[in-house]
Amino acid sequence: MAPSNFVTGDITVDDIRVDVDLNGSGLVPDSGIGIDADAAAFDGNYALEPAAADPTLVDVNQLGALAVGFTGFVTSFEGICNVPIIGHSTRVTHGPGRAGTPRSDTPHPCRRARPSPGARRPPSVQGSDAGCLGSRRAEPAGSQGFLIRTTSPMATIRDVEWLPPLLEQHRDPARVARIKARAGRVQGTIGYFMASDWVPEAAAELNVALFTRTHLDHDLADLVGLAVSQGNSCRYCFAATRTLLLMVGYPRERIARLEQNLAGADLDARTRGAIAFAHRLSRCDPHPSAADVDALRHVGIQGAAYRELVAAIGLWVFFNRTSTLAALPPEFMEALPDRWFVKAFRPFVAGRVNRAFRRRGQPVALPASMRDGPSAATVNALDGLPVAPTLRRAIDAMWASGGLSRRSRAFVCTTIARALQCTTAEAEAAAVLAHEGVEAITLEGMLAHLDAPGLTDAERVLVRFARETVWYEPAPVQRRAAEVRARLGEREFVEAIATASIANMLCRLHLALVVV
Amino acid sequence: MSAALAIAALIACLAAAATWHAWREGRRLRARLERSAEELQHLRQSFRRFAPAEVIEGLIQGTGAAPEKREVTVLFADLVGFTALSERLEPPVLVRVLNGYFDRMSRAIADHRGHVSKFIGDGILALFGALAPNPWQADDAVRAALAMRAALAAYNKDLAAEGLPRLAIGIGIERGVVIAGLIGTPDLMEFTVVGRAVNLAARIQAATREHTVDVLVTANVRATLDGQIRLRELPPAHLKGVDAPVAIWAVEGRHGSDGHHCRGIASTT
Repeated sequence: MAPSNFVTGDITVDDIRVDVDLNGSGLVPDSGIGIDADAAAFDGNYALEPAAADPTLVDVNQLGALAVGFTGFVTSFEGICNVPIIGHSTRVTHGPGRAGTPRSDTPHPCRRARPSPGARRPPSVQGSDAGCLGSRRAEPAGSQGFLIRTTSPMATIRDVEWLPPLLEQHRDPARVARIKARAGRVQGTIGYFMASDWVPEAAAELNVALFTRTHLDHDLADLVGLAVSQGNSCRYCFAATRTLLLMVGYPRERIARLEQNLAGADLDARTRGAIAFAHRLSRCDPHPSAADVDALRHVGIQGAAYRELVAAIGLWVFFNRTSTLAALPPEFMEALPDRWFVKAFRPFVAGRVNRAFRRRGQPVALPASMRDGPSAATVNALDGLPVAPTLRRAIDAMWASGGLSRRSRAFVCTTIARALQCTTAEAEAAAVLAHEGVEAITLEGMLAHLDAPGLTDAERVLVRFARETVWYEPAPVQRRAAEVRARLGEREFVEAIATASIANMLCRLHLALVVV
Repeated sequence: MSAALAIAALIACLAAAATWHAWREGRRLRARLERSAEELQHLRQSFRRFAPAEVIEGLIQGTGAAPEKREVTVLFADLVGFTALSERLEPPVLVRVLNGYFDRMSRAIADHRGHVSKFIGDGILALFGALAPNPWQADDAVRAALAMRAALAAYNKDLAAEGLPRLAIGIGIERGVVIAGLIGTPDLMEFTVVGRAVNLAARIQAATREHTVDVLVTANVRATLDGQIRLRELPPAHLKGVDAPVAIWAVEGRHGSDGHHCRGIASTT
């Protein structure tokens, strides 16, 4: 008698692709790679349905994706690489969405299916410790039918390593309501910065200012945001901008092309010029030059439009850093455009989203009372733009806050100014330090070596962290931020992030608005 | 009449077939274009760790990347007695030992904002300040060398536990202006630097054998080095290919420690 609740059968799996990631660098003149596994397990859930005409035939349909795992997985290298090799992991994953779909359209009487709800194997298997340098495109491995494709571990911005959030989100409805009443709207992430008495307010107002355009068209400004965020590998800001563009009606295909190759996409000369300048200013290596400004002038971006473009780049520099240093979770924003309700309602809400986020501003003269204060030259250079008073308020709030001492804040600012070779910002922060009683020899030592006998332990931590925020890769800088977070209180950490982000923004604004 | 209808139908069919073919071809070309663009993005993301962003952009856009002068600190490290070691160990063991060595050294370098430019045999050429400006590059390089020293000591304990021979390194560090750019042939090109500083770092590294020390720095490095680093002056070295004797210092360690605890950071204002 046949056992009940048991079906035997064969499942044919077609079209498997295995991606092999080789970590390492350098040159390998000649080295072959072999990848073997004793067994490959394909775990998934299957629905069994006896055929109506002949119940001895069972139709088997896969439910959801298969999880693929290997046992006895070994990588080997033929011969010895002529040059010693580096690399500690070889990772093999099955190709997304293509591996192992059982053919259920032709029921087979002998199919074997064992539904296995519950434990799923991870889709990737760590390989041996041996690794070979560089990436080589290997040929399909013959009878095994595997196409081995070497890919970088950082294939796209969504694959950039990103740590879990370093801050907790706090709920304070009353404060959020106040911020919303003042700024007009609030972004969902300000809850992460609630430990500070000024950062949520400043972030909300600066965000509104970022999307209020007086001289630039919205699409150009948002593409600049996409470019800067991509350049800084800020997954959060990139996903947010991408979602916004999609929601306001940008075709999905066009966005995909833009994110794959922004600089080379089929954009008009004005947008291409703006993006090239955005990269130059955001990187600041080298500093933007008069030639860069001339190039923008040739594509019609000059005067107030130029200053608005610079302000937008600076604000993205600020938001990229706050998001990256706090490791704000990007997953929700990255997945949002693919949610069914977004796809379904996008055409109906595009106009509403457009009106809610992208605003058309009017030229605003900076009041005389706001023309003095830290970074006055930079803020005053933005006179006439709605962002100028907002920026003034944010800078003043930062310096007035007791979340971090003025001395610590000035050390952070002067370190970043030294890294970016912004002499004005460095001198201004140095003046604050002198006013706070820091001796010249201490400041000189700190600027020369990021250390000096007169520094407190906390200040040493802060200045070393500050220099990391100028040029960075997300995961390493987030690891540094996590170390700093472990040593500081939550409020101090939020203040450190915000101060470093503002200092980075102000130096770049100064270099583009005042120095060039 | 019917013949005319048949001809019209035939033309319509041909037009439909041509339209369908064109649509399919367009879709195929779009897919290829997207694959190419995706590969470009792979390139951009992956190579950010190996070359400045401007260089990568130049490569992708086909506009090239002009070589430029940059002030960098060059760290050259080499295993002492590697040839003898390679003759004693079986190839798989040798490769495993080397992999472990390179892995640990690379981490120590990366942790101090350096990047490994290339491996030359058992040697490592690391650069500080090549990918982005770095006013603190000399401090970073020497701290990286001290971290390499510590990492190698730990690795040697692991090797000894396996009955494998200890490794020893020599490190030379020099600071100077070099030419940075894409160098090589169209088939094999890399972002690297050339200049006197590179040669000098390699030569000084060789001098570590003569003085039986592991880390040597030049006057250019010492001039901008943190006073917390303990140095010992050695007799000027006569280096191959260098006319005048070169002043060198052995790096002994650091005064104090790196451990810091934070208190009293909040303002009282």
